[in-house]
Amino acid sequence: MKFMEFLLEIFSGTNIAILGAAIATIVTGSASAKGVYMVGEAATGVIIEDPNKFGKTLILQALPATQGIYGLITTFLIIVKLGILEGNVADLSIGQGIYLFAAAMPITFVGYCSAIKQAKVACAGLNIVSKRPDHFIKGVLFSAMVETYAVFAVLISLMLVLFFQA
Amino acid sequence: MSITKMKRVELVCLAEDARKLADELVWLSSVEVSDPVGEALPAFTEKLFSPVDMQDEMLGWEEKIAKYEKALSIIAPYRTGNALTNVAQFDRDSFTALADSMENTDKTVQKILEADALRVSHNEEMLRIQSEIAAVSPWLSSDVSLAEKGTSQTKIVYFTIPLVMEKQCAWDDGEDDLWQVEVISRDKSFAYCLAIVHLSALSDFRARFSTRAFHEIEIAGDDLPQNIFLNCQSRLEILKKGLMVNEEHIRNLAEVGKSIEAMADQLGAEIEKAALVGRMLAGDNVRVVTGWIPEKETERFENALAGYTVAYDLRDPEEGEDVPILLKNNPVVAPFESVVGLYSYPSYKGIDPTFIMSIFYFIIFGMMLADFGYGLLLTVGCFGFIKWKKPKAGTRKMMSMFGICGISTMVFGALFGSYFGDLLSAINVSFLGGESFSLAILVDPVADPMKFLVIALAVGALHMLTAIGVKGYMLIRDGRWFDAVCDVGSWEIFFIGLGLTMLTDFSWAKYVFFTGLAMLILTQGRAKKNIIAKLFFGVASLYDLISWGSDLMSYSRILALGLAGGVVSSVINLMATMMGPSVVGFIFLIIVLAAGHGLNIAMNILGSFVHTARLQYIEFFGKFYEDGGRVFEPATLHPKYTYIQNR
Repeated sequence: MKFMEFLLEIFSGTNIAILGAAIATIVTGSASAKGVYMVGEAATGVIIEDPNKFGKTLILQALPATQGIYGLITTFLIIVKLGILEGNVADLSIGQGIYLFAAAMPITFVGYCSAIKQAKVACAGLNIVSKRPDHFIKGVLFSAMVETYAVFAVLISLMLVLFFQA
Repeated sequence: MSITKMKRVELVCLAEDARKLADELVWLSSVEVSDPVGEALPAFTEKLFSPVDMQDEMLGWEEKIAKYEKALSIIAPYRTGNALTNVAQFDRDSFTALADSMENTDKTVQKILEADALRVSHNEEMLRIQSEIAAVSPWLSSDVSLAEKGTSQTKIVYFTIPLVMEKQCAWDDGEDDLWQVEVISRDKSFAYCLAIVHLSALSDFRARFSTRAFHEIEIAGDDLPQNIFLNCQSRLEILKKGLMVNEEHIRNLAEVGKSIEAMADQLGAEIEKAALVGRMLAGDNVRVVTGWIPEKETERFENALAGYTVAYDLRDPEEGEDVPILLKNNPVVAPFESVVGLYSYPSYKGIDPTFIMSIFYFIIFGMMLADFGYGLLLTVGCFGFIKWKKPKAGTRKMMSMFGICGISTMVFGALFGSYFGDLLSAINVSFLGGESFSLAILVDPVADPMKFLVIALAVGALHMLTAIGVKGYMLIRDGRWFDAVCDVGSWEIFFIGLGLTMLTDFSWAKYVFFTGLAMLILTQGRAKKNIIAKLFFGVASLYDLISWGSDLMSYSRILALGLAGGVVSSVINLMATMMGPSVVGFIFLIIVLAAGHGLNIAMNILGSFVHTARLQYIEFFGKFYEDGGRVFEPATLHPKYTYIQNR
């Protein structure tokens, strides 16, 4: 039974929960990084034409960053719930561990998809900044609409984590 | 707190006064001169007036400024530190008086440009000589003059051959001794050889030696290689001396760098005036200027024009005119206009959101950065920069804004017990062997993130309620009382009731909530025709709660950013105090703290700035703002190198 014990050691309840939390940050962070990079790369084209538009392009670049932040706070809440910061790590059953793992999944998946798509809309919004800078906020709002679903996802994730009884 | 009232100014002056008038207006710095090309002018103007063509003159000024800029970049490496930090100050009289010494400065600039050209040509010449030396140096020990190409029966051939082939050539004198090869020098891979070849055997020679990978060289020269070499050396020496003298010359010229800068700004002022003249309409004997002026500046305007023969009209803007926007706020709030400007200026009929936005910007920025030490550095750094470097207006505003937000950062840093993170606690644990402690007064974000989240969301809720409150104010200002009560009042009552019901135990709280709910259901559908549709759309308006909720969730980024900064600070402090209370440990502490916290503060300031601005633009402005304004750009001086007091 050594192998089973070995597996259980790796996939204990607490570890599964940490895995979920880590994946939330990994995926949303990568997606936001990619999104911010896409917009930043396109924004340099606008700045070459007119450096005065820097502030507006910076705002557009900051928009896909939201999903990474949401993943971060989900992970953080799971860490707090597990009591890691107090040094008193809870010993969860496998079922409880999977509960927290599943709780981290909404923001993981939705954060990934919405960050990339939001970045694409923000890149399109850069066209507005270059051609009609006075209307740039419309581009921002288009991009922010995509964020709505990430908000729903983080809401569900947070609610599931918050009301968890260790 | 307000958008400055503007007056439309239309001015007619005498043609000969045009330049002097341009001078007056530029120093007045209060009039935005409109470009007549884009304006809708009455039909008769086309017959009487034509635009002034200043293209040639502007080109002339721009060429001159380009020369000055080039001269400044040439002398830049020679200017000492003092020259660069003390900014020259002028007032109107002293600045105008600069024009008298323009000729002198022109001559100096010319000398600088010539000295630079001389330097360039000397360097080119030196390169040429060096390549000559390189060509000649393998042949130095030859005693044959390069001018000698051969005799009537022979030809002198210079060639290189790989060292490995040299052995083969050594014994080869050709059939009947028809050629003689002498090795002049060798380097790592080649032998440099001279051959005297009888003309009849020349092609044989070439054929045979090309199998040995020889490479024939043509050398130009009119003397022994040795003499050519010495000649080149002496020429190089002369050029080097010439360069040194030139450098000294430039160094001396660099002394007057300040006056070149002042003159460059003077040229900039001339360009401004020329541009202004270029926007005038020209008649036979008159010039026409149109533009905008703030109402409060009209008296200064009239005084400035008192000595001229002019006719002008100041009138209020009409409907649909494109009035430029100048925001007016008290000096503490004014720096936040740069945040509004980044988004979009308000329309003339809208409101100036700067004051109300600045309060929340101040608070939210402080909550995100939240460190006493960082805030102190930010405030001192920004205000110090303004005091000593005297930046231009745009940068100055941004710096002031960051400086003011630094104060908020300090306050929240104290509330959250963050003094360069948990530095004091980390030092206590690692150096003094004590316990870790928290200095938090309100909440420690890392220890109690839930409480921080609730505070962040509460600030967010207050932010959004204020936003629709502003909308209500705008509706009331326009006289739409009923709309204000229905659209704004009902949501306010609804949310206040919701908040009271959830957070307090007042028995009447739920009645407030139900009142708000009823108001929403009854009034949100009032645009529809029949009673069923009205009620239906009233209930459907509750769907907006989803967008309210989504906006509220956005404020959780305050938690995220505040926490991220705090945790990174803790890690830096942990690393810095790793080495223990020794001399080495202390040095290590200082280095790691400086590098780590330096990096942390830079990233967090950027993040806080951008995300706080984003919250203002999307969650706050989205509820009431009317944008579309154009910023007011008066004709004024834009000095690059000097500081001009003109008021």
